[in-house]
Amino acid sequence: MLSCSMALVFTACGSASPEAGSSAAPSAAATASAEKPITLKLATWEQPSNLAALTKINEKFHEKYPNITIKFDTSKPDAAYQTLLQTRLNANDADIVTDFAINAKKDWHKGSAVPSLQQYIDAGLIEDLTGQDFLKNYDAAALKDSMTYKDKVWGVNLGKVTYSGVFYNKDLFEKNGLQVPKTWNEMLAVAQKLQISGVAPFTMAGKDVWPLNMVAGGFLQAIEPDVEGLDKKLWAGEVKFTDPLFTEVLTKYQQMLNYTEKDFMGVDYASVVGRFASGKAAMLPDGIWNASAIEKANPDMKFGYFPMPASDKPENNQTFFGKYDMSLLVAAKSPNKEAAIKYLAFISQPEMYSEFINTAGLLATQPNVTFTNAFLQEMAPAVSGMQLSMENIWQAPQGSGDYGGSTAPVQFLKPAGLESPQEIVQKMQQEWEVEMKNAK
Amino acid sequence: MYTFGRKWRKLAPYGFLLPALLIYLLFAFGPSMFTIVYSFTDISGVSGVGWHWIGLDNYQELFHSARTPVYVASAKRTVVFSLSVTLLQTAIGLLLAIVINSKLRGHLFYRSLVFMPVVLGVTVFGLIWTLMFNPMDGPMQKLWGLFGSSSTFLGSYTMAFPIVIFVQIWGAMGYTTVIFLAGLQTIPGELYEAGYMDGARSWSSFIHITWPMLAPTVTVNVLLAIIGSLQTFDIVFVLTGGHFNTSILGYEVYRSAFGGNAGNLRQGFASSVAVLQFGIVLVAAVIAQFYLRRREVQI
Repeated sequence: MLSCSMALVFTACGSASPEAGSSAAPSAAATASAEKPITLKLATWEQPSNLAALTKINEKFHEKYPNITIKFDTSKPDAAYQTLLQTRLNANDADIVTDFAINAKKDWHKGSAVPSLQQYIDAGLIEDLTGQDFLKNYDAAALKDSMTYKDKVWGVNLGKVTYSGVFYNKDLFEKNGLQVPKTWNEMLAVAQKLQISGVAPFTMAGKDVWPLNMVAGGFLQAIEPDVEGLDKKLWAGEVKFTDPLFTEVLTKYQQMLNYTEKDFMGVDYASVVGRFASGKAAMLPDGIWNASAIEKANPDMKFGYFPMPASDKPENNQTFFGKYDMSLLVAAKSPNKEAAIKYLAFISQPEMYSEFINTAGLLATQPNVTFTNAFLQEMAPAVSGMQLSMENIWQAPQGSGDYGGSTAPVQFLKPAGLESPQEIVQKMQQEWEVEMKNAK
Repeated sequence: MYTFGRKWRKLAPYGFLLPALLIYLLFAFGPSMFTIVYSFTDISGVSGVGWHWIGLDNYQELFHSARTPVYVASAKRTVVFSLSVTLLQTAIGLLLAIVINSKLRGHLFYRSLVFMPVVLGVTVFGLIWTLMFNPMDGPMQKLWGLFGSSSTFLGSYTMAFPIVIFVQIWGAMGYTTVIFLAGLQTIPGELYEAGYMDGARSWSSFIHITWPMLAPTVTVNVLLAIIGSLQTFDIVFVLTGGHFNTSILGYEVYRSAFGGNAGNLRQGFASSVAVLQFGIVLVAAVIAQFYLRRREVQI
């Protein structure tokens, strides 16, 4: 009796004998999947447009496979989700999981932390999907850049997003006779005109800090497009944070902050859409995923999206930068693997995928998608040439501080914080040097 | 007479204690000891990944990495946080307890009101205060406006920490008040009557009767406040996410273990931060206990 309960405790902890559990499961699942009701847990973050899109797909999936139901397992879309993912995978309590891209660390990232998804794959927690038919529906480049690691494919990426752009209020621009700016000086001129006319030029979600960093990444890439080269040189010590490049980024960012509405540092991410949609601010530098939130907040609003023209050269300001957003992966230790893979196959069908992408508002990773949403259809050509952003390539060393762990720690920059560009780059370089010394 | 005889009588108490002791060892003491053990390894939060003994490497990183100034600042802030919270919370709790204890009309209602934040929980009242301190036309901004100034409150590098201290006290003073109330009720009424006869009125009766008789209760409250505030992390997490100079050691432990950035699954390293925190709590608790117990004995 005692030994039985002890054994129960050990298997529940999931550490003792993984082999015994998994060998019994597949045969049972294969014969029983036709009739036995299965509930698939889909772990994902709470982004309303994603959830709405998935719910539609789940309903259609349930119609096709009446014995399989999908249940959401969610949390807020920040650090809380990473915790959820970690606990579910470790407890073998996951079937389908969501994550971004693998972004495995590069060879020159000595001693830097291993990205969590890479760790999960190395630990055998993610199912290898190489060779599955439905993978052919996706852009080869998307699969390679986001979900390929050690020459195997580990999931499907459902969409990309760009976040180096600026939402702008078309009515306010027209009222003031403004054109979309193509260089940094034009951007400043636009902002000044708006300010004189009495409306706040920009609004930002300063309180959550990550939106500030996200936009700053776009500044850096417009000014220095070769980010992989920059990353290598930083690690090799050939480029320093005290070089003119970073001071330029911070100075320009500060100029933008000076045109941002008062007390923006107290605005959190959930409220910032309202600030833009209600016309309190004319521009919102943000990720393209908020387009559907803006439409919902103010359906009559006419808005557009242009790349943040941080460079002085117009040709550098034409590309959007972003990352692969939501990807679906299958947990290797899930008892319902077959059903989970069926789900991935289902959502990868072109008709289902089109429907998903149109509701979720992401950019497509499958070719030949027609957008029903006017905004996305308008943006499709411009964003199709999107490039991978800095944060997917660059990695901070282990033990990095708040300055040396980021390529643009703008949260400390006046007026958001208390420091000048010069003070910040000095601290960044100092910390970087300590980090490089410790990196092994 | 006991049916089972002498030996059983002697051993019975231990028998009754045993289940509780086992649970404590298994779920509280054990994991705490393991945390110390893990702080010497590079164990990650991912199951199935091998881990190794790395000796003092985690502590080396804690004290010699680029992030060390953040940890040091965090530790200092934790001490400031704990001192302010303890002092203010104890004082306010005592004041409220005396007021409620004076049997004024509706005192039962006020007692529930004061305890409400404890019932609501940190997440709920944290979010409520975030709304109150919304700089875009929130109630506090309107109040600030009456004095002709404005602030970004929880987004301000100077104001955020005082606000966090304020909300922490607001949230926990219910505990302190209720414990003081219980303490006040153990003071025999005759003492007050005798004092009244000797000419003691409100302030001197407080100083000479209430305050000394409350010494054990003060000990309990101060110790609870110190230990609790040194370990706090949830209020910082909800209000500011650790930004704007509000990060305290409890938050840094969370950030190292679950922070969500790529690779922050380093439970080994997080354990070393937790051990540092434990060290500070231990020192503070020992000093506080020593001083408070001595005072109790004197009285």
